[in-house]
Amino acid sequence: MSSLICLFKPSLSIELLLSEFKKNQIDQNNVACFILDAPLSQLTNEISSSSNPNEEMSMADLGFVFATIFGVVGASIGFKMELGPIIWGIASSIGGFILGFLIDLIFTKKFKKKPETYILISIHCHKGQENIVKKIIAAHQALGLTVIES
Amino acid sequence: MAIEIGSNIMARRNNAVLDFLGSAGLSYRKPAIIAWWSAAFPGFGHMLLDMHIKGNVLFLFEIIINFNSKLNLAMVYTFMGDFKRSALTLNTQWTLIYIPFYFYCIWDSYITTAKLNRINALTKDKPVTMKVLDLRTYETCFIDKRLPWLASVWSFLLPGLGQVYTRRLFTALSLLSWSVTIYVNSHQLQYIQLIVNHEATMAEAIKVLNPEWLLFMPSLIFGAAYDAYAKTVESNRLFEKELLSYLKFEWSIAKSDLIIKEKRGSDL
Repeated sequence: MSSLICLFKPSLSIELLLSEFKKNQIDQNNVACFILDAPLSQLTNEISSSSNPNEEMSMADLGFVFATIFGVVGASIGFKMELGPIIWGIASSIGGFILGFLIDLIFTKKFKKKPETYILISIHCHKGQENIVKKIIAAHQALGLTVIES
Repeated sequence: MAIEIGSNIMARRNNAVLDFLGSAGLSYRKPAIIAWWSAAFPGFGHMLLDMHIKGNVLFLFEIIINFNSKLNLAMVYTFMGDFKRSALTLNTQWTLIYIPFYFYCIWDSYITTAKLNRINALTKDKPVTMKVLDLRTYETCFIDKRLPWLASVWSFLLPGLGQVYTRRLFTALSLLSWSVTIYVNSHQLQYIQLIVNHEATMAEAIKVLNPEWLLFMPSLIFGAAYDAYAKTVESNRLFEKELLSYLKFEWSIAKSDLIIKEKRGSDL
């Protein structure tokens, strides 16, 4: 018998992989999934309602807000400027977006990468099945694989 | 699918749902950000909360009241420094209707977000059990991982397309129809065409523009781009949560014969 351990990011390919195992006579009893939560997100779970898990969104929040304000004002002023409201509107929107983005970057500092969750799958199979299992794992975007001989 | 832990609470408050019109889930949202989008375009804040009927009614009212009060036109004159003309442009009657309407929208979306955040605090640690595919003869919807920036770019090009991409059918249909209405009535594409083809100078081409409709555009475009981005992030997170809940309950070590600790001792 041999054991295989492989690592994945959460995606639909995991379900495809598991169904592929079933098709190849690897019993569900010999497969186990472990969810590796990022240590940081386990910590923040304790502070329930006040913490903000949407850090990806915060990155663009102020940029969009400033772009809208600057777009409205810029387009209005553009009506009496040489290049007209469209060019001024677009230019001031872009300026506003960059400004909002920079303010977020400098003052809120929420740009640290969001901790990711990984899935560890361990498979126990006969020596003869090892190659087919390896092939299936390779075909489903595994991040890493190790074989434990026993 | 019976889940033992917290099944009573699950029955009272589900935390995610999917049907052929799209998916919705609870997650933490900043009340100030939702309130801001209600201020930029009444109705947008509610759409971000997946309150599509409310959002669309407010959206429609916003356009009717704003158009009749000539508020956008007055804004153009104000920013140009022509305050007298600005005051003369405004329709007093419609403006007086606009004021309570406008502030109600902002207040309502703020307070609703704060309340939904409290409900989210109750349900967020519960496993997510939801339909992941709704297959119908007239529409198909499934939850999947999508690219937030791509959704945003599509909505920059034409507000509503990013929403089609992330499968927010209600928002997509209303934003697309409002985009067409606002694009055509503002004549901005005609303006660009005149300049690009050298058929008119910039100063002459300005005359085809309709400032009243043109000033809807920044809010519409950036609101749609933000909605597409934020909602794709949310649905990606929902996808992950659902998958992890499934793996935890169906494929955990407890369900298999594998025993990490004792296996070695007994095998050797």
